[in-house]
Parts: sequence; structure tokens; C-alpha cells
Amino acid sequence: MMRKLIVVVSVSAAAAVAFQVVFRTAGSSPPIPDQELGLRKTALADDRAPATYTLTDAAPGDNQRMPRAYDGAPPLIPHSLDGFTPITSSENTCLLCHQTGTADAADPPQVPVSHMTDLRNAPTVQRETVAGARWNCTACHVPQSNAPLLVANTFATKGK
Amino acid sequence: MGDTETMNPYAIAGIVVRTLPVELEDVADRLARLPGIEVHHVEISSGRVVVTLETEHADLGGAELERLRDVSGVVSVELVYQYVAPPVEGPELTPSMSQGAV
Amino acid sequence: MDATRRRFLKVGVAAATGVAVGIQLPEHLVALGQAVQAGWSWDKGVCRFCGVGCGIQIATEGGHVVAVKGDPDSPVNRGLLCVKGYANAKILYGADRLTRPLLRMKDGRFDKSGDFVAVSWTRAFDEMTTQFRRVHKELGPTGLGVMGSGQYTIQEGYAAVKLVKAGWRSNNIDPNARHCMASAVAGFMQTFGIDEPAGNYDDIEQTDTVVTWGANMAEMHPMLWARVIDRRLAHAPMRLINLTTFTTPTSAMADVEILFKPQTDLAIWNYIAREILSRDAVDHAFVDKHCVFAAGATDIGYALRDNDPHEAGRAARTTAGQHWLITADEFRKGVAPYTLDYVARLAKADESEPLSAFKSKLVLLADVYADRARKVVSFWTMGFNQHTRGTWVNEQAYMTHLLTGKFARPGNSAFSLTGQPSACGTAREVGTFSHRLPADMTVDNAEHRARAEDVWHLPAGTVNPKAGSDITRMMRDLEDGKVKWLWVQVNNPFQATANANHWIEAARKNDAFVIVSDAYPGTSCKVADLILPSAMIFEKWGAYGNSERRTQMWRQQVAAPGDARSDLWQILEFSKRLTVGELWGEQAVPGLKADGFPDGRLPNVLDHIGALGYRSDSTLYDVLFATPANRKVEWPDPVAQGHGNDTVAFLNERWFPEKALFEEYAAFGRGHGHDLAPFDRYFAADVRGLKWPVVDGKETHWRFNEAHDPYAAPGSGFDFYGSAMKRLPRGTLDGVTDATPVSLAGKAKIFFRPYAAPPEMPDAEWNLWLSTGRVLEHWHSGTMTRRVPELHKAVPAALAYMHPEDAEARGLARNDAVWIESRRGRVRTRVETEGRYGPPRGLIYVPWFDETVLINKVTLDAGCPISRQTDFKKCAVKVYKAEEVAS
Repeated sequence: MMRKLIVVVSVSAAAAVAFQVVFRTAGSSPPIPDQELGLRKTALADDRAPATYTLTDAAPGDNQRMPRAYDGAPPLIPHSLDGFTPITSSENTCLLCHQTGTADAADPPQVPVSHMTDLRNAPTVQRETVAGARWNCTACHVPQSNAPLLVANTFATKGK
Repeated sequence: MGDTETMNPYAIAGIVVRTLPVELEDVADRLARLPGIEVHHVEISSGRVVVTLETEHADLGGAELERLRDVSGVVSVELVYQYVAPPVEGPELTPSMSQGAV
Repeated sequence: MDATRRRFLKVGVAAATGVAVGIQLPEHLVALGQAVQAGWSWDKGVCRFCGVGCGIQIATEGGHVVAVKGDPDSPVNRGLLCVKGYANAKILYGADRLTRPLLRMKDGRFDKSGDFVAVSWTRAFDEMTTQFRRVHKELGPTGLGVMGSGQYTIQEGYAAVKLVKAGWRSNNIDPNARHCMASAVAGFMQTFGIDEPAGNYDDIEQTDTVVTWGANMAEMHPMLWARVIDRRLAHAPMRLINLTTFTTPTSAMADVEILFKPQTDLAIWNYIAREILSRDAVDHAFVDKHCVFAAGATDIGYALRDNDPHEAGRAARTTAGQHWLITADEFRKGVAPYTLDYVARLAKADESEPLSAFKSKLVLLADVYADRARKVVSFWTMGFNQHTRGTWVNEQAYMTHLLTGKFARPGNSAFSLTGQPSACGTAREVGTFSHRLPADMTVDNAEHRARAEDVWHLPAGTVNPKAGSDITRMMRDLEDGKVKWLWVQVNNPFQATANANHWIEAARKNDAFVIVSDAYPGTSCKVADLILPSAMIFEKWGAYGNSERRTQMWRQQVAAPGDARSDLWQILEFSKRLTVGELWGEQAVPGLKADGFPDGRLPNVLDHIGALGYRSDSTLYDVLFATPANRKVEWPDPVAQGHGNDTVAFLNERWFPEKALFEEYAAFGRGHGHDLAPFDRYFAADVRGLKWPVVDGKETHWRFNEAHDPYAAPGSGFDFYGSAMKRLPRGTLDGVTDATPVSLAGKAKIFFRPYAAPPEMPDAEWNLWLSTGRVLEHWHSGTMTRRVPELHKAVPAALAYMHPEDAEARGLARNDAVWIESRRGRVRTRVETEGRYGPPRGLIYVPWFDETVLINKVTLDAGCPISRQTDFKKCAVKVYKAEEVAS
């Protein structure tokens, strides 16, 4: 038993040294110039205009529903907002199509149940129209452009 | 009840479906027959139905919610909540000092 | 997955779904749902972004955040979140998170001209210590600097203040909140003698009017705006008035938009005051009993460098904030020139708007304030605070509300909105400023210093009485070689500071050592010498305090990636490297002049450390943090409910720093009007933060109002019990005439403040105003939000928003590449003549979230001389076509 222990210790010590050597080499990577860090790849003294991009110009209608940012996040807007915004206190053009009160399959996605509930002032009442606090659609729902990502985001692939 | 027992669910979504109150019971029936759907609660006063939907992936932007919307009598469908299963882990590889023992 | 588990999961999800939308579920369903733990857990937290402080619920599974939702139980947002709020789940997961310390090296040694090499934390702290000792030996405490943040957690800010002021005896710690709220703070302190709003968000649901002044609330405080719109849609008499220098989404939802020329807000307030007086809309009972009138120094400069030509008019030997009492008649004289005609001509910004129409709007604005029956809430943010007379214009908001008695009463409020998530809770309340100590105390006050030394168990004379450099001055110190060791924490000052070319160059060319702690590599990292990878929100325990004085806390939810560690760990671990022996001997502090101190020097206090149980080789960690009292606050703690604490783990300790330091800090404020509840209370299941002062377990909703505030003296009605600057001499508009101090205990000041033009205005060559700010989708310098796909794709780049006729006059078409140039520098971007902003002719708007469009190279570092906050909303530029070069 004792002999085995000594062997274990000595081998471990050797392994530890070898391990450390291996570790140091494996841990090193080439030095990173500051210009390569971050979302801007040009030198700080070299100012370029951003690449051009276009916000979607699709008309509302036959657009595909876009994948949500993640489960439970507000849907993205697949069509252009030209002519539909700004939302004012008296006019909300979004609701003309998205709160029709009917159930035709051909209708665009309707304002969901959660938006008909006013959790602050009347939490148990089911309204017929969107709660006042939900009036400003574009605080939560945004359209997308064709701009490429600057850096990946690993959210969707983690833990799943 | 939809055939949920033999699926290997990856995600379970909590969905509130709003119906025209006069059609509530029929709609609840139709929903219940869809694969992956279980009806948990029907609120008669408001025409709201709480269902769960089991799917094999987390992204519900497309076909599944569309299917629910297409059910006759459904006014709106809202994804409220979602549980996503953790990945199945493989055997862990850890260094073992005893491997070096002679 | 086995059937039982699946059953439980489904029922749990169904129950949670029903609860989220307010469906009354049968009890058995709810009970079954609660029994489901399922390997996922929801825990409460607070949004990472703006000063609204929405409550959120965070879901984690397998060590990762999997979902976020608005907390239905939060009184702030009741289940709603804006598009950035939903992004809280994704901000942790940008692929280029910093995970290893990075040090510029050549040939295995630190070299300022080298590229970044990954090193261990030990090596990083070794270099920090070596450089610290070098600079401390050469320059003493004033050679060091910390640029802190209104996004520090409360505990991080407190640890930083204690380290710098008690440990290093330096006052060179100042936060980015200097550029967010300093003018608001100065306005509070001068008017009330104590900081932070009297009212709270509930004023929205009780008011008849919301006036937004220089605040694009629809984009910048979206969930508060949601409450405003809700009230507007439900309450017929409600009116919304938006005063702004360019059209925004807030204008679109307002009933009236008043487009005014930059800086003329000062004149408009005086017109309103003049109207209130002339219509006799004054609440005489309130004013006579609770208010006094005041005026102050006017030739106060613009916080530029002393040798700047704009400072030539500055009166010598005046402190910018100096003020005195005046009579009501003097006040009336002061506002007399601000007639409708004068102010309308001065302020009208839209040349296509008829003067008569603009005048009608000003009259309407005066109407709402003067109407005794109409309740009014005034909201403002950066339009007022980032202003060369920011303190003055904050005071004018109180002037109007105090004159009419529309203050500290439900539905009647002058409410300073906070920009950052914890500029209140951390920077202001903890005191992470160059002149401050916790709980509104200041370093230049001997009693305050003595109190801090008592709570902190320091020898008398440890704390430096000479205020340090505010953040702009710290950048100038860096340029001048006066600060040579700088630690940047939780902010991005080399993108955020005006006149940035100077500071970018200073960081790289002088022999300063710049350390940047951040989660992502931004502009400041590019100019740093050492980069330290930092844990983000939910990767550590923390607490934030929002605009309405609501302190909210969260537990650690997930681990930080790689070697990233919390800022609190970094501060505590680094504090182990230095001893009191090397810091508490006699120190040179140039210009120090205070009673009880030798000129230009801090005394040696080492003779007194024995009595306190310290030795010369006691580390700052032992003396400041791991004190016997703090060690008694043990980890693990039942409040954790199974959540981990990597700060504790990596310190290899058994005490709970986040709780111990919070309680130590709270001791400063309890009993002094800043009462915080015990730490554990914030984690109670039914609590969603608490508005201080929390007295006998109860929050305070309206301060100073006897009916609501336990600190208001019984029988007072209203008691403005703040104590700072409550003994003043008397005088006229022109100056002091009687130096005998008069006590104003319990009173608030109605200030007369004149219109003063900004230092740089458009002229023939530099012919456009430049205003800067944010957009809904992006936060600050974009390091977090531009790494969230949905936010980036919504607004991919910072554009120059310009009136189509201004573009046409310069031969520019929409999307053309242009240079935006000022006397200080230029950047390239593209013209946008459509979209959500509508500048009038003569003004352009460029947001600052884009590190490719470093608009702060162009802005001017002039500021309010009282608050030392930069005016980011006004400078003069020219815009011209640029070559197309691949970016």
C-alpha cells in the first residue's frame, strides 16, 4: 500500500511538471493587435463610412413569419414601416390590420391575448382592444435590415 | 388527447389561444386533436384556452403556431412561455491521477 | 424524458402561462405548477439598461440563460419590456466576450507599443501593482485615477469608493454618470439640499399633463412612456407636450410639439415664470411657507480648459455654484425681460413655422403650468443635463413647480429621469464622484470626513479633503501627464468623452498605464495597456437603484465565461496587493488647502494604526474589506436559495462581500433620510425593490410631503429637510449685499437663472448644430446591443439625420457618405433624410452607439461649470460629401 502511494506521488509529480509545460504551451496564442479587437477593424484614426444596408421594403401581406429572437420574445416585423409610422396618440395604423377582431385565416397575426390585459389597472378584465400601455408597438417590435452580423451571438445554441 | 406520450420533446411551449366565446368548446376539441397539443384550461368568460405544445426544437416562429392559427374559430394565438430541455451530456472526460499509477 | 417528468413540466408550463396573462387557474393546477422545478428556474432581476429599472424574470437551464420576460409583479413595468429589455438574455452571449486578461507585451515583458497577449490574473495584477507603485512614487495620490460608472452595482461602486478614498487617499474617482446626471444632482442639491426626486413613477397615473423637455421618452424610457400613453388614452383631459430640438417619436405621440433652438429652454422657463407671476398663478401659501428666492453667479464659463478663449469672460475667484437669497421683487425683475415676443423670436427653431403659431404653443405651455386645477408632471433627461447651463435649467424646472405648488404631491411632479440603470443607486447614493462620500456627503466637509473615517475605522486625517478630478478633467490630466495610472470600470470613456481625439492620443502616447475592465472589446480596450475580462449582470450578485429611488437586487444566475470575473472580485483581489504602510504616510497633494492639514500635503496617519488594530503591512483588503465585522457575514447564506457566488469562490473566502458591503454602506444613510432596507428584504418573494427611505419597513413614495414622508417634521405640511447649502447671504440680482448668513432650514429655493448662449454656435463656415444621443435599439456605446442580432439588424449603423433641404443645399442625396467635421475632428457616416427623426433646418442628429462612427471626435468638451457635465447636444459642424471607401 505504502509503496503504491509513493509511486503514485512520484508519477503525479512528474505528470504535474509535464502537465504544466504542456499547459503553458497550449495556453499561448498569437498576440492580438488592438485594431483586430472589437467591432471596428480599421484604425481609430482611419474613419470610414458604414456599409450601406436596407431595411426591408417588403409590403405587408404574404411575408413569412420570422423566427423569434428567442422563445417568448416579441415577433419581429417582416414588412416595411414606410407609411405606417409614426404612431400618434390617436392613430395606430398597425392595429388596422393586426386588431381586426375577426378570425379569418388569411388575416395577419392578431394582437395576442397578453396585449388585451391591463396588468396594472384591471388585471382580471379581458379587454376587446389592446391595453393602453401596449399602444406603442415599435417599443418592442422592430423590423430588420439585410445588414450582416458584426459578430456571432451564441445564445440560441447554448444549453439547447 | 394528442399523441404526446411517445414523443421525445425538446421544448414545451405554453400558449394562450383566444377564440370566439360561442365556439369555445368546439375549438378546444379541435386543438386537442392536434399532435403535440394538450389542453389544460378553458376560461369560458373570456374565450381563452391554455394549451401546451411539445416540439423537437425551440424555434416556434413557423409552422406550429401557424397550424394553431388555422384552426377554425381561433382568433389569436400567443406564445407566452417556453421550457427548453437541456442537452443530453456525453461521458465526461476527466484526467485521473490513478491512470498514471503503476 | 420519462412520462412523470414530462407531465410535471407540461403542467408547470401551463400554470405559468395562465398566470402570465392573468387567467384565474384552478388551485390544483397552480399547486402542481409550483411543484415543478424541472431543472429550469425563474428568478427575479432588473433590466441591464436604462434608468426606468424594469423588473424582469430570468430563466436559466443548464448554466445558461434561456429566456427573459417582463415581471408581471413589478410595479414599474407590470410585465412589459421594450426591445432592449428582451435582449437581456442575449447580451451575455456575443462570441467575442473577453475571457482572459490581455496585456500589451514584447519579448515577454509589458510594452506599451506591443500587441495584446493573454496572461493570467496574477500576471495582470503584478503589472498593475508595479505600475501603481511607479506612479504613486512619482505623483502621489493625484497621479492615480478610476473612471467608474452608473452601471456599477451598488456594491462595486461602494468598494471602489472605499478603495480609492480610504485606501489610496485619492479623490480621483469619477463615473460616467458625471455625463448623465451631474447637472440633475447639482440642481437637486442647490434647490433642496439633498439629492433625488421627491415623487415617483406613480405620478404618471395621477396627472393631467406630461411635459417632456429635451427627453425622447418614447425611445429612451420606453416602459415609462407606455404608462404615459396608457394614461393619455384613458384620461380625457390628459395632454402631452414635447419640447425638443428635433422631431422624434415622442413628438409624434404628443399633442403639441414645441421645436426650440438649442439652449433656449432657459428662456422658455423664464417666460413661463413671468406668466405665472403676471397671471397671479402663484401658490402663495406654499411659496410663503416653504420657499425662498435665490440668484447666483453668472459669469461662470463653460468648464473648458482655463486657457480656452471661451473662458476669458469668466469672473475670477468665483465658484460657479455660488448663490444667495434675493427678494420676490428681485425675482420678478429677473424674469421681466422674458416676454412672449422676445422668447418666441429667440427660441423658434423651425423656420417654416409661423411665429404666431409658435407663440400660441408657448402660451399653451404657460397655460398648463399656470392652471391651478391642472396637475402637471415635467420629465427631462439629457436635454437638460448635458447642457452648459445644465444645473440652471434643472433649477428652473423646480422654479416653476415650486411657484405653482405643483410639487411633491401625487400627480404634480418635476421629475428628473435618470439615464443609467444605477446612476442613482450607485454613483449618486454611494458617492463615486471626485468630491463625494456616501449618503450625499462631501470630502471638503470636516464633519462628513470624520463620519466616514468613523464608519470605516480609519485614523483621523486619512481622507483627502481636496476634491479630485471629474471625468473630463481626468482625461485632461491624462493628456497633461498629471494622471498616469488609470483604471476604467464598466464604461467606455474613450468613445464616450467629448473631443475624443485628445484622449485617444493621450492614452497611447504618454507613459500612462491604462487598465480597462470590460465584458466586450470596445473602443477603450483598443487604447488600453491592460484589458481585464469582466463578468456581466446575472453572472454575479448585484443591486441597482433606478430613477424613482427603487433599489432592486438579483442573485447570480450563471457563471461568467473563461476567466472573466466580477468587478467586485477585481477590486477586492487587487486590494490585497497594497499595504497601508506604503499609502498612509505623508503624501503630496498639490493645491491642498484645508483646516487641520498642512498646505499641499496629507499627514502621516501611520502613528495611529496600532490603536485600530492595523499594522504597517496590513493590506487594504484586510483593512477595508475583509474586516472582522464583514467576515461575520458568512457565505453560504440562506438568501442564496442554492444560487452560487463566484466572487466568493474566486476570493477563496467564507464571507459574503455583496451582503456585507451593502450593509456597511447602508449604515451611512439609515437615520439620515437615505434609509435602505436590510439586504435580505430585497430578496423576499413578494418584494420587487423598495423606494427609499424605507422606514419601519415601509417605502416612501413622495418625499418632503408630511403625509407621505416620515422624515418631514410633523405639522410642517412640506419639509425640505435637506441640509446642504441652507445658510446663505442676501443680495440682489447683481450680487451679495449682506454677507450675514441666513438659515433656510426646511425650505426650497426658487432660482432666477438667465438665458446664456452656448460657447459654440453655428456660423458661416461651421453652419449646422450637431446634437448627439441614443436610439431605442442601442445602449450607449453599443458594446452589448450591437452583438444582439435583432437589435443590430434593426439599426445597423449611426447615421447623420438631416433635413432634406439641408442635404439638397449641400449637394447630398440620401445614403451619401459624408464627413461631419468640427474644429476638433471629423468622422464619416451616411446621410439619412427620412426615418424616425425630423431635424429642422440647421441641425443634424448623430447617435453615438457605433464605434465606427466615433462622433465624440467631433463634439466639444464644454460643460456646466457647476456640475462639470459635458454638453453633448450642442456644437457647430459642417457636413460635406466624402469619398466612398470600403469600410
